Amino acid sequence: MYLLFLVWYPALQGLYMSFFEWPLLGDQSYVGIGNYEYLLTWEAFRRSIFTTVIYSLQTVGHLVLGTVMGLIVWRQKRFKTVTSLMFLIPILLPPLVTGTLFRHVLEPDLGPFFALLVDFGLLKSPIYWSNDGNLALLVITLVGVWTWSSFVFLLVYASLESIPDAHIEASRLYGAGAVQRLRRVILPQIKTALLIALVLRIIRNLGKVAQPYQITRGGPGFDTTVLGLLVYRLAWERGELGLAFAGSIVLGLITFVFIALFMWQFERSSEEVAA
Amino acid sequence: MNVFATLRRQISGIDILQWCITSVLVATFALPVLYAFSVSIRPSSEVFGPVHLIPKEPTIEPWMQFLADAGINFLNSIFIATGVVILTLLVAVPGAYAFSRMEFPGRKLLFYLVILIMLVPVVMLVVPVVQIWRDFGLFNTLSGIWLAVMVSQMPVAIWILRDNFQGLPPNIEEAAQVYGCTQFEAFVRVILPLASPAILAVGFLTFLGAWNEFLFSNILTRSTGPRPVMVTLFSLLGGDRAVPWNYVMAGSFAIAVPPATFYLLARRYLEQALSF
Repeated sequence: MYLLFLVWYPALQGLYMSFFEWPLLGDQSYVGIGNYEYLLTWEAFRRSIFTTVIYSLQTVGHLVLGTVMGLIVWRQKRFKTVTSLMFLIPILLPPLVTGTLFRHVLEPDLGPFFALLVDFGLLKSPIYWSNDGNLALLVITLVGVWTWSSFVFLLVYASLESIPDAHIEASRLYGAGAVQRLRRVILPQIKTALLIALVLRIIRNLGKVAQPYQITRGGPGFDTTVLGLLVYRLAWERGELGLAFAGSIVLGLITFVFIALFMWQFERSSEEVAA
Repeated sequence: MNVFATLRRQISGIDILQWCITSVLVATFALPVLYAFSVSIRPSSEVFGPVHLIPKEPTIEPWMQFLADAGINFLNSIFIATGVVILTLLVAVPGAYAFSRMEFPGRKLLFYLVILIMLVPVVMLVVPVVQIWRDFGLFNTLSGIWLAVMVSQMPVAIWILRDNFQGLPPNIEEAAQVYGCTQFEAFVRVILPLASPAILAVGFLTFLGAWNEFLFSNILTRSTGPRPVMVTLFSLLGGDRAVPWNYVMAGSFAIAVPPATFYLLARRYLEQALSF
């Protein structure tokens, strides 16, 4: 009971606040839907919707890469533990740390990545991605793919391991090729895990803050400010709590669609377990 | 001749492809981390210049310096994470037990409300939490962070524990009660020991989450308050000054050591508790 209070009270309080102009310290005044009107006409807000959509596309990368990683380790006969530990490196490190790490590795002048590319003659000069909104967005998205594919890998690998060997053997006996086996036998078995991974990842990716914040600080300007980050910057850098929460209501609405999907899937899979 | 034929039969095209992908992936995951680690044990003079993986004059100077500067923040992080683990377990264990064994109206609805919290982006809570914490004088205090971080860790804890309690046979408490235990005693003496692997796993997970937490701890503390080391790392990269990369990397790895070790230690328990 106490817990529910602790979470739902802030949420409701926030909804109430979103109708006010609410500075961090000092008096609030009622502005009605003014905050929402302001947001909708604000260039940075529109940009951040776009950014959020692009940034969320990394979910596709997570699923593909995670499944490939899962299949690889599952097929391996030796060194399973070593490979899977290697694949888990990204989520062993705190997101803020991986953010810091890539900020150095990808730094145009000092970092090793561009230096190597230039040395090998693949590039004439390093790319100054942090000054270009779209390139910076690409960078945070790719780093996102690097970091959280491992999560999908964990789920997929666990469900691959639970496929009975007999199924695979049977398909081999009936003369199914590798591709056929993947499509007809393996994919249906891990479908539930993939769906859960998909929805969980989308929801989490929508609300990501720490890692992109550390890499680009949301800049240049507001160009890489995903919605969650927009909310955070409004609250932390500007102290505009009312406006910030109006932003998070928008974020919440988008997320809610996916939450509904998750719930639906969750219900179905727990019914399967019960049956 | 024969040997080659056998070899070819054993190594099919798909195996070669698999090994290629594996090596590329492992390199992609391991190289940036290795390189960054190598930066963290170099003297400042060696951070720039031609790219090389193995430092010419390895030194632990950056590590020592970071630990000296941020020692107090490390302590804060430890206090925060430990406190959150204790509080979360105190609420989650009885809560999950209630969800799994007791009948009360609206049980399913309440459980869904708890699970929902897990899915709501934490950022949404940051704004109102700041305001409320100010009103209640929790701003910039250790207990304030405990409460805030606890909220985000609780749902997963309850979820895992409930699943675990439900997996235990329903009549063991009854059996214990037949032998003269009260319901509470049955819970403490029978259920808790049986569920201890799951409780341990939840403890580990919560510690990881609390250690890695950044949003609340950044916004709820000032530099004079109980600021965890994660926030220190964040503020190192602020502004436009030149960044002492060897120092920052040493800090990053120092911060990553506790959660990584914890994860590796708890891996077995986690896999048991999380398989679904």
